[in-house]
Amino acid sequence: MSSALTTHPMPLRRATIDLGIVRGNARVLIAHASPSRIVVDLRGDAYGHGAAAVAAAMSSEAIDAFLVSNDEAAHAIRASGVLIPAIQRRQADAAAESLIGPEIFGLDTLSVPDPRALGLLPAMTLSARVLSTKKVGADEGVSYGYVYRTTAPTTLAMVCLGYSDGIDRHACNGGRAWFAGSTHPVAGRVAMDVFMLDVGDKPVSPGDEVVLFGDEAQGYPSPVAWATSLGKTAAEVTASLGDRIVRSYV
Amino acid sequence: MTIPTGEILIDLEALRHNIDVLTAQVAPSQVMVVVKNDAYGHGLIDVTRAAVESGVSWIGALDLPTALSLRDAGVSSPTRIFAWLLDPEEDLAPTIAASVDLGISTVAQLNTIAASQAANPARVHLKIDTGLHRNGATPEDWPGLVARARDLEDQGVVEIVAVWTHIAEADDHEDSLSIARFEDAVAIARDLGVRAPLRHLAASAAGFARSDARFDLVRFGAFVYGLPPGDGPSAESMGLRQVMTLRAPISLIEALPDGGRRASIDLGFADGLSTSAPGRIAVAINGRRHPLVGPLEVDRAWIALDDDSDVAVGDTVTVWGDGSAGEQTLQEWGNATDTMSEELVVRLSPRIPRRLV
Repeated sequence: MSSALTTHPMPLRRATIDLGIVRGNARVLIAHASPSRIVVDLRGDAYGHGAAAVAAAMSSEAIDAFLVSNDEAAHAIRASGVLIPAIQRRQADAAAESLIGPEIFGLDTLSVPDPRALGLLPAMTLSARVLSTKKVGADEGVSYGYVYRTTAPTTLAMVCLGYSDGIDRHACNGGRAWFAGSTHPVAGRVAMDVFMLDVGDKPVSPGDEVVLFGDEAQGYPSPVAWATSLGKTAAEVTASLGDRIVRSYV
Repeated sequence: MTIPTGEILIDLEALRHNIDVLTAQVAPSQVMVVVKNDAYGHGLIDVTRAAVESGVSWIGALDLPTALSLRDAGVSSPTRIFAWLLDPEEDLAPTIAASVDLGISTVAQLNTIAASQAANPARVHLKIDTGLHRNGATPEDWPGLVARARDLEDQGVVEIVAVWTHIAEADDHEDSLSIARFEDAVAIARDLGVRAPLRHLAASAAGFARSDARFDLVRFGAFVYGLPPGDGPSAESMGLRQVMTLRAPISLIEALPDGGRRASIDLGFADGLSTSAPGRIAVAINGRRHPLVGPLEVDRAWIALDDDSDVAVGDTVTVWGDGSAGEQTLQEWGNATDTMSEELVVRLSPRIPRRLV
C-alpha cells in the first residue's frame, strides 16, 4: 500500500503522519509494558499509516519485533534498513509477548478505549481540499436521497473525499469536519468521491483545506470522536483509508 | 513462495453481457461506461478495453489522471473519455491536448481553460445543478456560464459538446422535477446559441428505469458491474450478471472451548471487509453457507463451522459472487451491512490480486 513520501505541494487528499508523535507514543507504551518481549502491531499497513515508514521511525526504540500482515510489508520494512525483525502471525507467540496495538498511533482499541488519558496523541491528520462551493437557500435537500436538508441559507463546500477513500457513507449522521477554525456538519450522504460540508457563513474557496480528524488540541475532531460517530473504532477507520489518499510524513 | 490470501475474479463475459443488455435497454440513447475508482475495483484497463470492444464509445473516467492513463493505454479517439472531478490547481493543457471531454460547472473553470493556451479547443460538457447541490451551476448562474462558454467557443478555445446534470434519485417525483429543470437549462443554452448539444442526466438506476431520463446518453457505472441498488430487484431479475467474485482459502481451523470449531480467512477490515458483516453474512464453502462471526480482525475473518462441516485448511471460501457457488451476492451483502454494493467493491484493497476469468 501507499507509503511513499510525496513531493506534491497540494495533494487533493492527504494523511499527514507525525513520526515524532509515533515515537513519543511508543516510549509511553514501552514504559508501561510488562518486562517481556515487546511486539508492535503494524498489521494492515500499520493501520493505514504505512508500515515501512513507521517501522523506520521506531528503529531505535526498545522493540523486539514488528507484527505485519504479509510478506510484502515485511520486505518493505527490511528494505528501509530496519534491523528489528518483521514477523507474521504464525511466527508470533502471544503468551510470551506484550503486544502494542494501534494505540501507538493514538487510536482507540477494545483494550485502550481512551488513548489520550494515557498521554497518547493521534499521529494522523486526515485532510482534503475543497473542489467547489455553492450558496443555497433554506430547506434544500443535499446529495443522494436528500437525507440532509439545510435549515437556513448557507454555503456548501464539496470536499474531495468519498466512500471509495474509506469515508463511511453514513458519516452524515453526526459526523463533523474542521474548516477555518471550527467544525461543521457533513451534509448529506457521502458519495463515492466527494462529500458536502455545510460551512454556514464561513467564507470558503476552491483549494481550501478541510480536516476530518487529527489532534484535538488543534481544534480538529479526534480520530476517536470521528470513529465513534460511525460506531467504529479509530483503528478500523484509519486501516480502511484508500490509496488515493497521499501519505506524507513529518 | 507467497500464497495469495485472497483473490478477486473478474468475469469479462458477464461484463460484456451487461453492456449488451444496457445498450439494448436505452437505445437509441448511447451508453457511457463509468470506470472511476479502478472500474469500481474491477480493473480500469481491462474493463475499458472490454467496453470499447463491445462498441461503447463513451468512457467516464472521473478525473484527469485516470483519463490520461486511458489515453496512454491506447484508448484513442474516436472513443470519448469524460472527466468531471477537476483539481482547482491542475494544469488542463495535457488533457485538452489528449482530447479528453471536461465536465465544467463554473466560469472560473472556463477561465482556467482559456489560460491553458492549448493548441486545440477544449471539449466541454456544461453542468447544471438540478437539485443534488453538489457541483453544477445554479439556475441563477447558468446563463452566465453558458454565455462565457459561447464567447470562448467563438474564439476557438472551447467546443460545447454537451449539457448535463446528476440527479439525487430521491424519489420519482423529485427526479421528475430535476428532469424539468434540466430541460429548462437545455432550452436556455439553445437560446444562447449552443447548437445541438448532447444531453445527459441519468446514471444507472434512472437510466435503466425511466425513458424520460435517458436523453442522448446514459452514464452507467454500477449496472455495468451487475450491481443493482439495495432492496430492489436482483441483478438476475434485471437480466444482469454480477461480474466480481471474491474468494480466499481457509488459513486455519481452530477448536473452541465450547466444543465448536471455527475457520479463518486472511482478509480483514484493512482489506476492505465490513466490520458490520460478522453475524449478518454467510460465506460459501463447498457449496454450503457458513456464518461469518466476530471479531473481524484487521487482516483476518472468522467463519463458524458446524459439527458436520467437512472442510479443511486450503479449501476455497467464496466471500461473494453471483450465487452460483452458493454464496451471497454483493446486493445481499450491501443490504445486510447497511450499505450499497458499490461501497463494498471500491473499498477492497488493491493489494488483493485480481484475475480475469
